[in-house]
Amino acid sequence: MGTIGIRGLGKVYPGGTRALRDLDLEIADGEFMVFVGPSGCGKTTALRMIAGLETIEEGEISIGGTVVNRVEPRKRDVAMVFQNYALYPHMSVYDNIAFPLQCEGRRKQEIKERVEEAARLLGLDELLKRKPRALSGGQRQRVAMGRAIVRKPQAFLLDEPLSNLDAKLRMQMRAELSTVQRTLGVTTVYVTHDQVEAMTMGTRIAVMRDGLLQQEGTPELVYGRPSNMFVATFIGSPGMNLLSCPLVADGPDDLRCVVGEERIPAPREMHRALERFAGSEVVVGVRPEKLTDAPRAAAGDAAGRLRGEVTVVEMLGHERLVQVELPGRPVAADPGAADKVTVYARFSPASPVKPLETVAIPVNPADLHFFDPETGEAIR
Amino acid sequence: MGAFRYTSRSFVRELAMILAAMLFSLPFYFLIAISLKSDRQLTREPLKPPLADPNWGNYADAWSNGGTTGGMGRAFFNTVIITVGSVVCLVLVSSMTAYVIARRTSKLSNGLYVLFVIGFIMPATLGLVPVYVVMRSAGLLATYHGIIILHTAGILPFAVFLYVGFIRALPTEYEEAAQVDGAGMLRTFFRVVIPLLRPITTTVAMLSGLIVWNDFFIALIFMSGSSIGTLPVALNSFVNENYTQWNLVFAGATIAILPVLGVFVVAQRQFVRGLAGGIRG
Ligand SMILES: Nc1ncnc2c1ncn2[C@@H]1O[C@H](COP(=O)(O)OP(=O)(O)OP(=O)(O)O)[C@@H](O)[C@H]1O
Ligand SMILES: [Mg+2]
Repeated sequence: MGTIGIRGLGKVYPGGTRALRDLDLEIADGEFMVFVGPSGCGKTTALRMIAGLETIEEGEISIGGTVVNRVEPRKRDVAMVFQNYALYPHMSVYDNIAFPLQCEGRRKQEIKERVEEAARLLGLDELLKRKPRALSGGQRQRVAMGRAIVRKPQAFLLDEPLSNLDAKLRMQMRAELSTVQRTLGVTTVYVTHDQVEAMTMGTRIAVMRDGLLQQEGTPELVYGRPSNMFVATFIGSPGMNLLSCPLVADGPDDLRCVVGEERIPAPREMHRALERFAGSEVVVGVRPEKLTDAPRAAAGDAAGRLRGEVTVVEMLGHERLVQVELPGRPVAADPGAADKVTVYARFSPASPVKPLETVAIPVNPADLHFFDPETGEAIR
Repeated sequence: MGAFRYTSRSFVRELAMILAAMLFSLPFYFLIAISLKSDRQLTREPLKPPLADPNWGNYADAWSNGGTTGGMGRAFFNTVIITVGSVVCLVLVSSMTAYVIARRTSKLSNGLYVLFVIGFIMPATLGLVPVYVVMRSAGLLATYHGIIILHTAGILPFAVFLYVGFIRALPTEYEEAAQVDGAGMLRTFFRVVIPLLRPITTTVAMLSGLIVWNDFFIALIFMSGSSIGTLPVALNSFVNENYTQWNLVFAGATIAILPVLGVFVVAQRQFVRGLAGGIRG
């Protein structure tokens, strides 16, 4: 079956750039796995190694249970969509899609049927005679997809297939791609630097940075329980608010984070883990949507407030994105920097909030995340 | 282009271009004019246009029985075989060679490339005598395949040089896509790479075709004493020590030039694009 196993995979390019370090991942059959991370983090490298386009010197890759380290790309039975699609410019759409089948030595009639089937699935029926240069970006993307699905391979490898499209088309193709993948049930590895694509399309996400896997898991897990400060800020738009603040013990069983005048209680179930930071600094994180002006129902909510000055209000239609300046230390600021940290909050569009006003935003202790300021790792 | 205005400056420029064009066509005028004159007209009024009484018979004469090699007809046939043969061999061999050189980054391939560049720089005449001796002992003198091999080898460094430059600028994505799609090396080369090389192939084919078609020296030396004369050799034999029929020479020259002119007119666009480099996706 179309499982992909990656064990201890590393890559150093000739010239000495280390692009990948000790990557371990098991991708199950039919899974939609997304590699996400900022530019240069090694996503494409990992994908190309799965395809066989880069040599493997460290670690091991298996496809369908067989180690493929020394297997040529054409024998790996994977299909790839390149960032620029790489459609053969001299071939018609039909020939482009038919090419992988011709390589397999299929009969003409079978090729015709399968190309037409793929074309129908992707809405390319009308375009089969055209050359790639006579297609729009979205159509080219579909042809590239057609070339991949026509073969029913063990896995699809997609390298930022939507990055050349405009915002609206991207959203549409996002949904189409997900649907096609689900219909065919083929294991997919999808590379993107866009965390929205990762969240919306992936059944599992692998967040990478500087060649290192930061966290992998379902979108809910990666969003809800980020394993370090990088993942916390990278996933989400805007990402999680982080501020560095002293943690003090206000008595037995009462740990509090000090933000300006306010003392926000840490959730009880975190006390064990947080104990060793009492009397020193920790990094506190909170998602923007947890900082709102909406009235809170649950008791104990008012246990803490973040009080600060509004600097910017952006009206987005369905909400107001508010930037609030808090007394506190930004993460990893140099010691001389001003003690101000800007956080994002999501207010309702009806909110009368204006710049220069002072607001006090209630915080639910359960919404707080804690990170070790030294290592950046989540405190659990 | 929409905002183009015809000013006095554009007029002057146009005039200059027309004059230049006329200057360049002057030799062609003499060529055609003299080729259509009878012997008498030629001696009396060599420059006057032969409009009144064009002497087409010169062409027939030149075609079938001018000179010492049995006319241009036979030579024309030989030249076509040699040119087409050489160009086909050259394109195949040089594109494959260049592909490997451009895509492999090993020391060996770099070394090979340097070798080709040296071959490109060194004057071919340096090796003439050894090549002659080798060809003679291999029984390749005065044969079609012999001269085709010779021309192919002679122009190979130049062709490889052009191809390598072009392939290095070609994105590798298409080949990678073909590999992942399941194509082997040969299929990738012939179905994907060769079509992408079309602009530079046109250039190589036209330049080398021109060299082979017009070659006089190699044909003279390596084909001497055989019936496989080429057009330039046949034409040369029209020129006699004692008495030269210049109208026949000119008719012969026109016959030799026409195919070249024809090919150039048809493939001009492609040719220029290949020289300018790059592909359009
Ligand atoms: N062929 C190569 N030779 C040398 N270094 C390379 C090569 N390809 C990539 N790198 C380097 O390896 C690192 C990872 O590159 P990679 O292309 O995998 O990043 P990426 O995550 O795909 O980034 P992007 O989102 O910009 O595509 C980068 O530092 C890059 O400069
Ligand atoms: Mg990339």
